[in-house]
Amino acid sequence: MSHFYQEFLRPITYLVVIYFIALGLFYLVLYVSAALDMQEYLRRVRAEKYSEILSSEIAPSISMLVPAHNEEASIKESVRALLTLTYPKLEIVVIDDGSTDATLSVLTSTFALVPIHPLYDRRIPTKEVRAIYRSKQYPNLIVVAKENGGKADSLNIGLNVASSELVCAIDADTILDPDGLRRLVRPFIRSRDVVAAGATIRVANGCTVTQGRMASERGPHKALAGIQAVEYLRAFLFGRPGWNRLGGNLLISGAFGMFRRESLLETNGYVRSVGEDMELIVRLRRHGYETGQPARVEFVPDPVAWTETPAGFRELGRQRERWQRGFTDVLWRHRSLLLNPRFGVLGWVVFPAFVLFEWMAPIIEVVGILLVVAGLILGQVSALFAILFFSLACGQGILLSMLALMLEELSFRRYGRARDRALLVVWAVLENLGYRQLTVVWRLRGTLSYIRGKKSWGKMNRKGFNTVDDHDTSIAEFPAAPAAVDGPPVGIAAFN
Amino acid sequence: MSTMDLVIVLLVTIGSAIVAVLITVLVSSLVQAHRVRMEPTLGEARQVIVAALSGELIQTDDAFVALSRLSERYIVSVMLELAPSVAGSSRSVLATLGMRIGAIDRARTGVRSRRWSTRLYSARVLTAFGVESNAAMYAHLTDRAPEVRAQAAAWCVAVQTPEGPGHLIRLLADPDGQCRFAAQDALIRIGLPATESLIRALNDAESDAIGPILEIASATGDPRYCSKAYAVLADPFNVNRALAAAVLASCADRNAGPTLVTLLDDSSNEVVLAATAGLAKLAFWSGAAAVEPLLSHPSWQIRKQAATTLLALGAPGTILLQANVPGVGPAAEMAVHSLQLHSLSTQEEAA
Repeated sequence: MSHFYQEFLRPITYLVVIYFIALGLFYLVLYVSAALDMQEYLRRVRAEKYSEILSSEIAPSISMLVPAHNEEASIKESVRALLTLTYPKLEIVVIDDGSTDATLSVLTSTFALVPIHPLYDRRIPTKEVRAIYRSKQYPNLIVVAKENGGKADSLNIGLNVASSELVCAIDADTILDPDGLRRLVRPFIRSRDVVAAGATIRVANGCTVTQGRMASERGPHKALAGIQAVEYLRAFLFGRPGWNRLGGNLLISGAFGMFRRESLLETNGYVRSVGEDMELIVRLRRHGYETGQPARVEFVPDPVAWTETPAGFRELGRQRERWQRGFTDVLWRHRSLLLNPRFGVLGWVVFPAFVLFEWMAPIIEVVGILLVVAGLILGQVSALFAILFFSLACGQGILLSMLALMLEELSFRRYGRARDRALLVVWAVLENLGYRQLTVVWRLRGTLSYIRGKKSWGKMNRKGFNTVDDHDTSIAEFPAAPAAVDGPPVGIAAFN
Repeated sequence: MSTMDLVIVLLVTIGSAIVAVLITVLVSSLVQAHRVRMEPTLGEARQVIVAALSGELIQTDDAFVALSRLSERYIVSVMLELAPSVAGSSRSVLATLGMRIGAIDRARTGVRSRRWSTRLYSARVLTAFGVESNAAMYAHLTDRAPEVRAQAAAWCVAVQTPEGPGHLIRLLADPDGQCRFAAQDALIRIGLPATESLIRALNDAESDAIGPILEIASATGDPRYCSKAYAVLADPFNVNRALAAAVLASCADRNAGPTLVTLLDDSSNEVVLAATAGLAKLAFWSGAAAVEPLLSHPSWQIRKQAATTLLALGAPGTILLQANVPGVGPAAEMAVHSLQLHSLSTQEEAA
């Protein structure tokens, strides 16, 4: 057995160690890139009030696309919040994707909807539209009722019906910063080459919402939500800005992203897939290379969308499995990009990095753990070495999270209370003691279920916001208790 | 070095890095806590400045005495926040206060800084206070940092001078989109005083450079642009012809309506769309009969615009739309859709 270890397992161990070091170096480069990008961005927006965009005659128009499926609990608050956004030329298109609950009737009664002749430009084929409504109270609010066809189909209907130059796709349960649109529109004003821009998603569990707006930005006090908050910070303050300088992002969260409408229509909009957000970005960038048209994707760190995250392990596990399935699907669909010189930095840097350091990470981590266990059993690895190696892996994870927290501390500091920020440090440590290993299992299961052919989303249930008072002056609070939340993916949030 | 040694070295390195990061976070947190403790001061600064602007503190001296106890950083922050919302005498009060606390002098020096972020911040302060002509600010229109160039364009609106539009027109050809946007926006905000310079630029510019100027002309609607707009209607670029149509509609020239009707037969959909929209803007009712066939146009956008225009043309347009309702095909669909929307808006207005 000892010979077997020496001959076969030891070389694999070296490969794992090399991978581990390469991963560390990659994160270091990504972090430096993110820090530089963030520093430049903060200097640029210092003292910026964005008032010129608000009152400009030449500001681009925006259509918000809000797909909703069985969202009766939260749709009223969500649409109200959208109607309070400060942007001069704003249209809101809510797409009821064949809800079987009272979503449509809640919308109809709350916003005085009346049916209009369902006429729109059918540029992308979609499921049948049952009716189109317009609000008598808010002329910029349109509601489309359609046959159930999934999120991608709903967004495609939204693209057909929308009339603005830019479209902003958000999830129905997302709460946006009031000036989020003005901040996110800047890359499009700055360059005609930009086809998509993404913003930061933060965890709303524990925050208080008043009249559809974030009243108090507080860090989650429960471990599971807190650890996810750290994961989101790592992804959105570290990963995404880092890619801005290293060849552009490959992912924009479906919870809050803005696109040039014509670019989406040219590439036939969203494709029905588990990871449609990422698939769209990869396709847009790929289309740019194939046609020679510009297709820049930018990430803007300060417009924030707040979203509720799963509060129970079961829901979280399902979500992470689904993300990994979607991620695998996108990589497989676009496998021809890998190391393909035709696609420049996308084919040579971005896509390979996602395969090597994102998709393969859980596989390598499991192999590493199995090797150490095998070494222990075969007497080839001492217990001390095993403990030190485990500590090293945890230390690397903790360091990455701490670096993200440092960026947050030195930049936006959205979680205002010192206690909340101290708790984030605790969650960053705890994440590595059990949670991280669990996510590895979930991600592996996601990959395996994709290989076995599972492509569906699974059932989605939402509890919605706990509304204390049902009037406009209500205070809604995100549920602290475990909620049956299994919403659309916000992208690959973790960078493990 | 054995594997064990390597692991220990890596562990110590990572551990030290974690400690360093934690210390940074802690120090930053303490600084932040101090700032939070200063928050009432920020509120106080806001109160004093608002009181000065509303005339409660009659003499700026009183305000200055009250402000002198506070940090300049907070005062400037509050002033920048309030500046876009004030004009006239209130703006003068703000500028006087800015001068007394030394923020304006520091900004005047700051615009010459080697650091682009300092130049940008200083330019923002001078813009907010509407500080008088400053040669350094015109130089900023050609600054190497696009953010500074864009801010200098905004300053040209705050401090209007005869040479400002000329500088801004040159900025319309900037390689950075943010600067082009800022220049266009500034020229629109300056409005009529910029027209002569823009007309001169239109006459001198090549076909591929007149688009941004025509967009400004269309937004301001000054009749002095009309003669050039008629000339541009013969331009080979579709986008320019479409923009010229939009300018004619904005200027509401006597011959604009009949001219736009002739453009409905243009080979470019872009031009037809602009001409159709222009007829709506002019409310040129005698053009309704020419617009009606566009309800069957292959382009969805033109069909939709044709219906919108017919509604905007009043009774003649509405009658033509109603005449299409009983039919089948895209024209009938669009007529039903538009009339329904129109009736909805009418109900809203009545309510």
